[in-house]
Amino acid sequence: MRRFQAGDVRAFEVLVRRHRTPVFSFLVRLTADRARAEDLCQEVFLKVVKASAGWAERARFQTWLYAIARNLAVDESRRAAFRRAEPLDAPAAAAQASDDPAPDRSAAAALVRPKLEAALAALPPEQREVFLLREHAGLRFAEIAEVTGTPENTVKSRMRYALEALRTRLEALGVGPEDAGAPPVGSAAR
Amino acid sequence: MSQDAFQDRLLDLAYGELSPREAREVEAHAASCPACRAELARIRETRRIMAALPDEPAPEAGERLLLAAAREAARARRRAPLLPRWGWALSFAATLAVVGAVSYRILEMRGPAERAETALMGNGAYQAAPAPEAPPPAPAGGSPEAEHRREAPSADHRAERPAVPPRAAAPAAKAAPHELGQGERGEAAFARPPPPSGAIAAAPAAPPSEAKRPGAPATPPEPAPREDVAPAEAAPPPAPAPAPAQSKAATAPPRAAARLHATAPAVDAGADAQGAPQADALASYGFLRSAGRLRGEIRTFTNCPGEAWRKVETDPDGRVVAYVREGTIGGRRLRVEAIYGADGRLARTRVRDLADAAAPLRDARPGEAPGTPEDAAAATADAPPRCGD
Repeated sequence: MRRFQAGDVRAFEVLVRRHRTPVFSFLVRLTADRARAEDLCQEVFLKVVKASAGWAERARFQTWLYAIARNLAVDESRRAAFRRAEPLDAPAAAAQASDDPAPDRSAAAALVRPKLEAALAALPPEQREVFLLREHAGLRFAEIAEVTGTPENTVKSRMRYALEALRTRLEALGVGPEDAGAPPVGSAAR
Repeated sequence: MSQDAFQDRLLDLAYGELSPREAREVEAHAASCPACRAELARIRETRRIMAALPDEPAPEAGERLLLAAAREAARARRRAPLLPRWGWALSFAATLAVVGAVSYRILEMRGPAERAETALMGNGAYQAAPAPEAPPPAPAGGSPEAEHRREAPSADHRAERPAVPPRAAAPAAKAAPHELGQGERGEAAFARPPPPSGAIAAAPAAPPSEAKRPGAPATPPEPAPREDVAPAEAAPPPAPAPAPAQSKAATAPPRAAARLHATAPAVDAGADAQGAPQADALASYGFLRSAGRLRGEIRTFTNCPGEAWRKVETDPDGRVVAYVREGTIGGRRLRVEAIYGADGRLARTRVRDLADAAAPLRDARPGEAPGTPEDAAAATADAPPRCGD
């Protein structure tokens, strides 16, 4: 980010390549709306461009990035609610709609994936948000507290409830540890 | 430690957020506490299952736009660092220039201000001065010289006025009737037959700053108090419409024309804007763009098929010169580019059909790009999205 601040456009290209898919992924699962997530993802990075001049390294870049993404999603959700459109915590039709199984996944994993998506989509939005920020964005609990503007204890409580709800839901869907297989590449470092 | 607090510690342990010493303590406790051990195992197991959920790949489509926006921002940033280095020098120079210009104007204006009110109001009478003929050198206060002295500030004023941005030029033109005292537009003034002279002779002595101007007696009188009038001196045919600056410069006396260009490099751009042909707007846009003098702002709109994103480009004066929008218009995915002249009016609309990757930008046919703002004021970045067009 500092390199981009200094005028190095290639540095921004690297940022985009590194973070765009995780951010998009976060937004798709948070909003449960693929088209909206695409627009929001664009807006996130345009905001990064706009705000880059004044960016100071007070926190990790990811924390800042996901704070932008999360706030945009929340704002958009409010606007959508105002327009009587589908709210943020609507059923995850779109999340399940992306039914293109990753080619490098085993057939079993491809079968399990919709169930994992469904279990995640069934979480209350505030729990889903915390889970995604911790598991997919890789933010620490203190950073999630900063991003969501809630106390760290509350963040951890939500995470515990989220894990518990997921466990219950996955059991009901018949998904056990043996179904998960090897963790995907994108999740390996979390 | 409460149960909740300890569960938080288990969570921290499972996510690797404890220091090595704390982690050892919690693990030691979990080893001796079956419930804690089971809870820790459940957390880890759920994490492992959910980790099988892959990332959703982001669509490639928007990446180019993001990089374009980044390039734009980087360009702007590269220009910006020059300011702190030269800021003080520029500020000082600008202050000097402003002080100098104001002082000069005050000196110039002092003479006319000291004249009788009738003389001040008598620009119209001045225009009515007899046909230009080299006035004989005469002592101050004589009629021909007084005439020259009266015109001199106006000639300078004429040279400076075009430097004012085109928007500022309009009020100046509106002020002309008052100056003339005739209730007419300045552009039409030179077409009037010269009224009888007389008021000029009554004019008091000119300020010393004007009297010492070299070459003044030899210069033919320039009876035009305003730049709009200048062409009439050389070519008196009636021309009610405002003429472009080039024609003014071409027809004005050489000295005035030279000053026009020398003192106000912005003249052409500004004056072009007044009556610019539409092609000029495109050329001007191309020039500003290639010179890197445009500032771009990109906005995206969610749930807005008619305008998924827009880019608004403004010139150094903050005027909107281009407005690009992409969206589904009339059932087709189009990129519409609207170019505005310096007068703020839509000069050109170009369209690219995005379904055909090889299709170039082409001029839009009437009605092809509905919802294109007709005026730059409606083409700002903050204008409401045109979702339905």
